Amino acid sequence: MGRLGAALATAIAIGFGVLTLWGLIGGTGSIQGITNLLLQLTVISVAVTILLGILNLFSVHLRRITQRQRGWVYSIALIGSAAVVIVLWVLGQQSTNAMLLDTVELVNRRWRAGGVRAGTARTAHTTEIRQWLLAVPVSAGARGILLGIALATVVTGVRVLIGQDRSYRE
Amino acid sequence: MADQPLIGEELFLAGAYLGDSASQRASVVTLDFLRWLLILGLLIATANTIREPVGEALARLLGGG
Repeated sequence: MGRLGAALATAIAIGFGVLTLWGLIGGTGSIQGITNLLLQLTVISVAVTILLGILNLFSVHLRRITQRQRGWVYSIALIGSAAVVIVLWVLGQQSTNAMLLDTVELVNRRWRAGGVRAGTARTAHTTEIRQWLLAVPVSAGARGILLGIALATVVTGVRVLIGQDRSYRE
Repeated sequence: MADQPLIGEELFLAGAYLGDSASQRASVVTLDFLRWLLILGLLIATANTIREPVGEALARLLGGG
């Protein structure tokens, strides 16, 4: 029964994988409808999985803090920063990046008592530095990670289609 | 829980970290091969894009005009 269950799980995975691939490549009519339904179910499942992952993350780090395990200070930083972002979202702040940059510029202006002109020059420099950082190193790193994820997704998908992925049968 | 953070594609290769099956190792090798193929494609596309400006600059440098 164990082998039959494993074979059945593999057959179901391959069948739905081929069906979705067919619908995405050029299926029409009912195939397209089934593909859309499967994709919507997948999106909902992924969203719930992400939520479970976040709750698990909080649980692990809270346990690390209460039991004073190795690196518990970093756990406080993680939970604190997550809480700040959630509170800001609840309060209606649309962009935490812009809010953080405004705070840095405000502190910079207040600290250097050089008048409005010096404050404006440093504000422009801060914006230029931020734009360069976002355009070059951050963008390059993000693109590299996204390319890696895309390739790994293709490889994993092919493994599922040929029945070599065992995560659902063991 | 992993000691180091798993970023991007490492999430898909977590099975290869934990186990040692042939299919997991094949996935890692395939991913590396595809990544090198992509790098080669990017380099060829970049070389094709800068071919004309570089050629003109070299011509000006060597021809003096």
